Amino acid sequence: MESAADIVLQIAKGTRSAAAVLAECKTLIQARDPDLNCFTAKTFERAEREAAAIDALYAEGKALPPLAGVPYAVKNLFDVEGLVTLAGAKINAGNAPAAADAKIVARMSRAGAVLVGALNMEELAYGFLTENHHYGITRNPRDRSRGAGGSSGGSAAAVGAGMLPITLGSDTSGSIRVPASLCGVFGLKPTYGRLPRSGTYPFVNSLDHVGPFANSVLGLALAYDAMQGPDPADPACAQRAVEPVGVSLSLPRGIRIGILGGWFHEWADPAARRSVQLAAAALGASEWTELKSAEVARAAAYIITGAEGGALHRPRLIQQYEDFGPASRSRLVAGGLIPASWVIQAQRVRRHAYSEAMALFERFDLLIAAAAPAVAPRVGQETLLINGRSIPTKAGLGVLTQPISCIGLPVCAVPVWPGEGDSPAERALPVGVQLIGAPWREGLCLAAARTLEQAGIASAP
Amino acid sequence: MFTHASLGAKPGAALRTWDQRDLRHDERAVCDDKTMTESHDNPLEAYVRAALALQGYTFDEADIAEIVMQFSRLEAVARTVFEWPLPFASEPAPVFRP
Repeated sequence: MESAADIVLQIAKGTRSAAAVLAECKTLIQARDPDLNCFTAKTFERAEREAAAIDALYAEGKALPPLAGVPYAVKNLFDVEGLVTLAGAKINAGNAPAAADAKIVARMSRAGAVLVGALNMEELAYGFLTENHHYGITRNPRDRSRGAGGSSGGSAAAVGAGMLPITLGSDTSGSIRVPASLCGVFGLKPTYGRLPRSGTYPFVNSLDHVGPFANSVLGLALAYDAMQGPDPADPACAQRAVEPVGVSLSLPRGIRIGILGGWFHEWADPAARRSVQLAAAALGASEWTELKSAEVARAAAYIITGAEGGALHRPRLIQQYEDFGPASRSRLVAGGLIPASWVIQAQRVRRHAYSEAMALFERFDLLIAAAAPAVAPRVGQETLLINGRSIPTKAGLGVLTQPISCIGLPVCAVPVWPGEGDSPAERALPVGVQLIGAPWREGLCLAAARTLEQAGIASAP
Repeated sequence: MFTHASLGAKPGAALRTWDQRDLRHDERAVCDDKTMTESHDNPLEAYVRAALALQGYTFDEADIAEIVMQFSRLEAVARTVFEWPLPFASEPAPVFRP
């Protein structure tokens, strides 16, 4: 499917109607989704109403909103009026349908976007795969024998398969960046607190972020701008004015870019290292640096996630243990037993890692690292082998993203095609690169992504 | 600076002894649970069993074994966090803003 910016332009020029765009989108979904299992619900009636409203505006000669007629879908942890918010879990299937849209879904609608459905995810967003015990496996559009990654697997795969130009997801420890990396699409995890989470099903309140996926950087920027703004209903949402990045994204001259070594190099296999090398070369970056607290920041995120996730679900775990998937229930219960002293120490470590990162941003404007340690694993693959070291797939896919979300930095994940691997199939797969900015500098991350896209290094075909 | 008083303890106040007579019903159930006393050689397992009981969970042995295994992974990760040197006054991240 075309990019969001192209669709907006076609509708504004009158060369295509929103209804025609929606019809093409529905055809693509009906043809491609059965193989991939991205959707858990389709909202075509609503989409037809929203598309008709855009076409009516055009017919009346009125100004069109910035995402006029752009189809999109959301991870099924976002409230959508009239749908049950599943968050990938059977325990939620009997809940009442949402009475209203999540805040950022409402903002996307206000910007003229057309909602076509809800997307599959890892149960309760706990894990980096989308091998959902209740709602099935979401497969990778680049190779159906492989997984889409997670937890926002449906969101990444739907864009990667060309069904949609934009989707929304969430990222607690890498759940936007990992599936974006594995499915070969763009993803934006904004600064912690930048986008409101009200009307989304929580997992770890002190780490949860929401953000967009897209098949182009301009698509990410359009969606990001549409969703910005304070929201008193989310206590973590920063009360900052909207800072639009716009579509004229250009990287300022003299930008200082550091390549993250140490932990980020050790846990990147040859394909991931090649992706970083390609991106660094295209951005003119050659200086290596290190975030020494990366490993301990990852550990801190792990502890905080376990404790908050376990505490959140304790009442349901007591009442409905058998209704949770076998891959998540014992982990959630164990997390709920974590002593307070561990959590407090993890929060102190988090603050320390943040301070170290801020010192790095005195020397650099942007940092680069791989977004995943390797290409997409095969469905059911239990371990990853990274530079001779074995790590469980479910946790290991987030080894490079977790230290960054732990300290809330904004990251644009861009799809790079390293052409490395043991087989032709592996050499055809992407490994994403994280473009990491200082807090509130999403515009810079997106500008760097746009530079890579224009240079042909990053693309979401 | 934290002081004895600021932490909520009154000087000279009697502390709970954890004597059998002081225990609440749920705490006594933990102490009476034979598996607790049998798992005393494995402090991690004993902790998990006690914490499960105190939090209101009841599981069969197979589930407990799985939870012990998951908790042992968390404990290994927590060790990394505890071994990281931090200044005494380092601030925990979550600041409450009313």
